[in-house]
Amino acid sequence: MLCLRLRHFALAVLWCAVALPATGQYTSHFGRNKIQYENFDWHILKTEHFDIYHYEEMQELAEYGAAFAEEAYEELQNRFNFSLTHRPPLIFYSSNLHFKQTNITPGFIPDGVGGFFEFLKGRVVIPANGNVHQFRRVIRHELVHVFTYAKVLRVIRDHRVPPERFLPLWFTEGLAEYWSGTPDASHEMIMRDAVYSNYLVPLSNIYRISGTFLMYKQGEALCRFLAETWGEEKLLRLMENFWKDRDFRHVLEVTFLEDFHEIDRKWQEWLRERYFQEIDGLELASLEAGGVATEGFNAKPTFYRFPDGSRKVYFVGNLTGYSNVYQVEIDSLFRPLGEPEILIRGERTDNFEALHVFESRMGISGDGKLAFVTKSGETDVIHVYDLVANTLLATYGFDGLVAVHSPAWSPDGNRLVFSSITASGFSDLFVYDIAAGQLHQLTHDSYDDLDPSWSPDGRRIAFSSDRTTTGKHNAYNIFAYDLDEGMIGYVTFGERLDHSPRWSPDGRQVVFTSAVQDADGRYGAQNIWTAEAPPDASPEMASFGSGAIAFQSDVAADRASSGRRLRRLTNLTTSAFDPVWTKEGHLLFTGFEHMRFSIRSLPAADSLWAHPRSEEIVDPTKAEEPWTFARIGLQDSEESVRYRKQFTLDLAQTIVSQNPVWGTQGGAALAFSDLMGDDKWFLTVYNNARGSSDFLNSLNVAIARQQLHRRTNIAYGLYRFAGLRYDITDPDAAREFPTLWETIYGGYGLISYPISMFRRVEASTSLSWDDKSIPWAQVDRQALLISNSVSLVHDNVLWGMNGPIEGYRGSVMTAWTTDVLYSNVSYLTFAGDVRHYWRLHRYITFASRGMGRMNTGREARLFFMGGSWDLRGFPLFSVRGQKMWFTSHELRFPILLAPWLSLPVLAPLGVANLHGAFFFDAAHAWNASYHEPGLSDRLRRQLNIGETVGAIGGGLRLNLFGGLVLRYDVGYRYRDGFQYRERFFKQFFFGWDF
Amino acid sequence: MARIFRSSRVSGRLALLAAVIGGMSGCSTLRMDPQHIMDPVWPVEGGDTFRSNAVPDQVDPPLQQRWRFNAQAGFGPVSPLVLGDAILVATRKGEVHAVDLESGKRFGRDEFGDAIEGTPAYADGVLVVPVAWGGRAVRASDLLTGDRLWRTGDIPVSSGLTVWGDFVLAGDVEGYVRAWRLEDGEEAWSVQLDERAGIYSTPVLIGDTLVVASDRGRVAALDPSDGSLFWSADAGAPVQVSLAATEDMVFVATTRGSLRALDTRSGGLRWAYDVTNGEEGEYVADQGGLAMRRGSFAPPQKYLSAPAAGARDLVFGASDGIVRSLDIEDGSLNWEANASAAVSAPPVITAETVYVGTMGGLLMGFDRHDGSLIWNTELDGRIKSAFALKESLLIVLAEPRYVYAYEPDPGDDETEGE
Repeated sequence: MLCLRLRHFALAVLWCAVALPATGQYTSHFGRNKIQYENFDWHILKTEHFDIYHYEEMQELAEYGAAFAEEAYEELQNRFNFSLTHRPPLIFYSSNLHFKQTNITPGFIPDGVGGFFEFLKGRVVIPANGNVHQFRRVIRHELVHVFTYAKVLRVIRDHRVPPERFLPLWFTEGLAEYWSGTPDASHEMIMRDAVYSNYLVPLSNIYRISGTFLMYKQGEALCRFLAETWGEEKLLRLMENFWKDRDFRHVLEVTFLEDFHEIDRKWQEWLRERYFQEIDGLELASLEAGGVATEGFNAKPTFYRFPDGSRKVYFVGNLTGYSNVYQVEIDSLFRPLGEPEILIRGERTDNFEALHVFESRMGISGDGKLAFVTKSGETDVIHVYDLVANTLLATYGFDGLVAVHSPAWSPDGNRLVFSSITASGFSDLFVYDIAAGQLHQLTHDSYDDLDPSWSPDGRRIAFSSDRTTTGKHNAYNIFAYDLDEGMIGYVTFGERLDHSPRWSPDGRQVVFTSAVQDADGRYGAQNIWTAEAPPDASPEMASFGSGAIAFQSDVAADRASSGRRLRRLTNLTTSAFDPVWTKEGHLLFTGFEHMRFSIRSLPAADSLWAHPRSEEIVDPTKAEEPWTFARIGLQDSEESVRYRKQFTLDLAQTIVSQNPVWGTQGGAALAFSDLMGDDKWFLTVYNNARGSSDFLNSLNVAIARQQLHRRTNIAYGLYRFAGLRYDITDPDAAREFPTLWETIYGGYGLISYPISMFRRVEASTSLSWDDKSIPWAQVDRQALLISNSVSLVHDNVLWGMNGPIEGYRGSVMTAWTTDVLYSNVSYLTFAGDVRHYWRLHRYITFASRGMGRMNTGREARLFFMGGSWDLRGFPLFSVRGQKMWFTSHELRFPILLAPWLSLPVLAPLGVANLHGAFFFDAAHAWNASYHEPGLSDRLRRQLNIGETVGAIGGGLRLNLFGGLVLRYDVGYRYRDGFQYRERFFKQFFFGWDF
Repeated sequence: MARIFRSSRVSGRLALLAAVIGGMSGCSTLRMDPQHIMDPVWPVEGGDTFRSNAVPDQVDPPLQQRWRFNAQAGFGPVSPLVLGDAILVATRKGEVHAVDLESGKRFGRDEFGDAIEGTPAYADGVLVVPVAWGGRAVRASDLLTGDRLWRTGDIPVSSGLTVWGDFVLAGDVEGYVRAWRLEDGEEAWSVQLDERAGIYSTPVLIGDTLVVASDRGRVAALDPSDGSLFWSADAGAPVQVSLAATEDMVFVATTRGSLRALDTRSGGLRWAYDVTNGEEGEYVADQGGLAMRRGSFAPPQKYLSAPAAGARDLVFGASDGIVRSLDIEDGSLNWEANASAAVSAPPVITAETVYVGTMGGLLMGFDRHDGSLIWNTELDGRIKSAFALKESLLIVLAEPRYVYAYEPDPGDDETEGE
């Protein structure tokens, strides 16, 4: 399969090399922009087994990462009973926002991607997110992939079996998760929910959830089950038996000596036994807490009571595909009075480029100013929105702060505290004084400081951090920063995952979420807890900023030894997040249940506090020295050098084809790139000679270079193309079989400057010598062509599985092509294309498109149209003219949304969905005059020009395997401005909706 | 339980098609001269039925490469055989190559279907080959004529074969120990050690006792004439590598860092050596590293290689990259040496030097007395197969698909010294 795809790619490269320089059919392509804001100065830290790529700002983090990688290598060498014989490159970024800029993968990287391993050059790419433990875990995860890939590749090569097969994703990802460490809290949350809510997908059907978060966690549970039942040796045996059969189910049977369905049954039984024994006394959030916003994925609730007494809950949510800030009005019992409404439209404009739905809380000041974070350009920014006046007041960005999370207001509304990941990759606390415009850094260390919350008296800031003594075991506790003393003290203590603190309205309690491990080390449900706020003279309030806890005196230590009371207010089945204790006595929180995040409220917080589900006394005086990780520094490494580009081969493909018209053609395509994917070379060579004497004349060669490491992307190249060409855009060529002889050589350059993620300007220039010959038409002309173009492209559409479903995309372009030597060619090009997608309902979209193109001047080329992608009812390329307009309108609606649920029999066939569409298309093409009165009817019909033609009909869109869309349209096609219904047509093709 | 080891019908048809094509193009054969047959130098895995991997010869480093042969496919843990001046090498492509020991040129080849993981056995001019997939798992050929003699066995065999008298003995991946008649392949007896346990470890033959181990850790001594049980013992962990033995003891290396010496006659534990890695349930990293949390995330286990058993010492490698030499009488540690990469192939002991192949592609020679590294050289890929020796010529199988012959270098200017 891989070989086949490569062959097709090579064909495409060859075809493009022929067609592109000569067509003059300027069109802009859509798509958002992946912008390289930073020009990273890469360095390489060489350890015993790895090359660690990093930039100087994150040197300390890279040294941690180097130690983690070597530590993982030692462990994985034992687990795999295998050693690597190459040095994998590990490329570190200090934050997800930097990671998003990588050119190692061409695609966009969404929030939440912890890293990836790519097969082409064996690169491991990992961002930090402020949490050093997580960084360590992701390194382990990706290195499991490196070992798995190397081992399985060896098995395949040893046995000389075709390399197109590989282990199923659930196994590779599950194994990587399993061998990354103990199951984390999110694993337990997902698996517990899957078992309780009964959406656990059996092993026999796990392909249905391939690539999902659920698949990762189920895969992890499967590997754990297999290892605990049969031993970890069997996981290796599974890889070693991989060559035996294409069907991995059979490989499982051979390895475990069990019937596949019996393995599946035993795994589900193992899971149920594991979780159902805990179910007694657990409470479902959906039964215990009222729903405020229960559709879609919602998180980070906050509350405001307006001066007029009305109440609203604000949250970040994703109900339809775009993430937005929502508001929903509630009554005094916190029941919603309507559907949530969008307050801030995210992911469509430069200002609100992306909302971090699950990472950043929002804060509301006493006078109704909402502070929230979005990505805007290269960094995150804080927006302040006046809820009373319904206006955006200000946007704050900070030099040196890359990611910004969870702003919270001081009680006087003059300052904001937030956490931020700097270019160093560590997460610290900052306070911004709005009036003074000054930024103060509260913490400055390698600990992960999160979710700050200002106390009602304004003197302390509670936050979650792994700076606890037990942070060595990935624990988080709640801390308080005393602004008067500049010291940090414990609020909670112990091997717990305490997160998202908020103060009670009276400032005497801190409410937070926590997950606690049981005796087996497994995390329980994440519940809502409270802790007594530390008194002013708390002896634990005695550290000095850096996180090193020190007690002031023995007397003070004695006073604290009585411990601090923690109360668990809930006993949920799965998890609660981001609790807020409102002045009205309700607890707002995000509840996870049935694979959905909902905003919920619990009434009578005081009562819950007075009658907790359980209590625990913790003793912060037991805190010991703060922990630290080992590092491999420059002095310990074998070498540290600055990165220099070295090009290695990405693709090498040769092809020979035989065609009765074109004869025999042979060619090769080569692609090279550097390790960072910033610089790429493409070389295409082919020959279409019909005899040995014609060999040199028919030599076609193109060389191109792309440089992507700067914000402005550039490309340039040289080419020579010669031979018989089929060109439907050439005005001199025959209508029915437009072939011509042409020799063209020259060079071109292209720059693309992204204004933002959604808009860019592109410009190109080319200079070429063109010798065209059409013997039957007695055309023999030479030209020295200069061609320049500039275009503006906008695209913020949201894609569904079959094509765009919401948003807007458009482009305008102008170009000028002229023969500077003989004036044989000289024409101008103007083109515009606008497409708008209205979301009438969650699943129904109305799409409209308008397009106009014009080439005017000497030897102006023809545009073409027709086929399933634009003008339906007319064959591909059948409408040709130097000028044309086109409009299309389509109502898209679902027929079968998730057939694997309703009709499981369709799942093995890869049926992902079935949609329907009603459409209206119209177009008009012309050359000299709009109706072309001078042309014969036969020629008019042949080129479909000089009249408005179109089609009205309906169609079906069948999505297979989530990527291939089959289109079947039927309808009537019309002529003469829709006055003449010509005939009924049926059309089958493939491709996404426009 | 249904038989689940059949290749798919499609695979069967492909095999049939391949057979037809092979027949049309002329099948290769494996035929040897009688002098080879008369002089079996290294006729079984480990050199003898004790799998001792030890010779009294002086094979002093530095070594130099005499030749390299491309076998067109990778190798399992299989050991080559040396018959006279010929080497027989089995590959994971299912071929056995006959290579001239002097020149490194191939003079014969035969195909046996699917991958060969275990070492073939040779006796009385007959080569018996275990096949690791599909039906008909044991196949015999006449080395003098090249004729195929018989095919038998339903369950794949991934361990090496042993010849005892008129019987060929093997353990299969379903946990059965089977005996076939060498003459015609008829099954004489079979015994299942454990349900749902495979046998990947090549048995040892100590006189008239066959000792075999399963991947559930069960070690059993059987009467090779009828399969009756002499004794049984628990190795405490899966056994996947070949056993080794002396007259008195059987040495069992496990996948979880334990090496046990069992009494040959009773199966009683004579001594044990454990390669531990910190407290049970907790991973202890090097200085400055973090301990993993307790719980179901087990510490990384250490896979031990099959041991080499000399007269006074027992040497083995492990996945932690450490080579260890123990006193064979009491299991006390003689020395440890760092091989810098996992060691899964059994070492070979010569008079003064222990040779070790690593997963890092290094061929290393350690001083047998103190473990100091004397010499090493880097090959083209990992060494994960057992060695063979003829006098001072060391045969090494390494990735990606090469057979090497190394011999002592009279000068040292072309080798890497330490």
